[in-house]
Amino acid sequence: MLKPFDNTELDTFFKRLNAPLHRMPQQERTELHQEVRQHLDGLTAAYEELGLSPDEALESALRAFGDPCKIGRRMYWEWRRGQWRGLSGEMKAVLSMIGLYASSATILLTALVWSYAVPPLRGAMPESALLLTVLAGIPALAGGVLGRLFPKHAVVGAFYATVALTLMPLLFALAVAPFGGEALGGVWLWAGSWLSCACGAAYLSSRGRGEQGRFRLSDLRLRQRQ
Amino acid sequence: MYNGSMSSDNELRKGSTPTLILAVLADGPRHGYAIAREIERRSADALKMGEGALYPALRALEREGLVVSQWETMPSGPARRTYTLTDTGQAKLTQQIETWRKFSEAIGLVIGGTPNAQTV
Repeated sequence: MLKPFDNTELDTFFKRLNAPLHRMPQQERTELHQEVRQHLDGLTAAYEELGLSPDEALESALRAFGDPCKIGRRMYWEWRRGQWRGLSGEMKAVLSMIGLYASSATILLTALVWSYAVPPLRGAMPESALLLTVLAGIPALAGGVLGRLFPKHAVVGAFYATVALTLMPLLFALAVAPFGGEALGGVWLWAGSWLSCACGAAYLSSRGRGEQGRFRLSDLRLRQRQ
Repeated sequence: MYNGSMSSDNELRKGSTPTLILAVLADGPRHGYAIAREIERRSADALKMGEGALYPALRALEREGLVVSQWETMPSGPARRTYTLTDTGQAKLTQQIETWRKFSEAIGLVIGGTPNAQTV
């Protein structure tokens, strides 16, 4: 049954194609739209040359092009992968370290809470275990894993991620210190122990991969991606 | 029970799409529609894939540095995005052709070999 030719089908097609792409920059979406439209025009013209009517040709072209939702989703994921790949090695290490801090804290603190919940273990677990876990365990675990994942940028990643996480609390503690804040000493201890444990674990772990050379302070300089 | 003749065809096509694109671009820069037509022509219409699948594959190849794209002004009509094979892409294509050749030889030996003689 012939359907009257209209652009509703095309509009619907492009709406479904664009739906997963809302986070892509407008220019990239426009360029993709233009590319796909040109492809569909070529297909439609080819089907018309075979003797199909314009609306049959359009329908066949849309069918031959494929499911716009699936294509849109794949285009979005390819764009996302490009964004991650576009980051420098150091930036990937910094972002990964922040994630590793969260994971390490979750794992170790959960294990600690469970151990306190089990009566036989509670007595054997000294109170200082919590302090040791928070001050040394979390950064050491996170830094150690980072060293295996990003051996070339492990120390840089650990350094900047720790600075990023501890900077705001430090500034806050400095701000309230004149008003009798005893927190300043605690925050300094936290920042210092995290910095040393994370960077130390990252360095040792990356040395284990055999790819990290002798560490120099100049390595902490963030470089442009080449 | 194996019933995936259609799904296995699709899987083979999906996996081969990047190689097919690189092979077509080895002959010179082309835009997306021309790539699809050339694949169809060279395969004597045997390979008809969902043509929209070309574009994510082209983006992936571009991300890996195997192809580069640029918008070119056409003598007639609007600008079109043309894809060109890079040196890295050429090297990758050569490697994939060799891999494919060895793979198809091995498959041919298995499926074309004589049945084992029955032991007495």
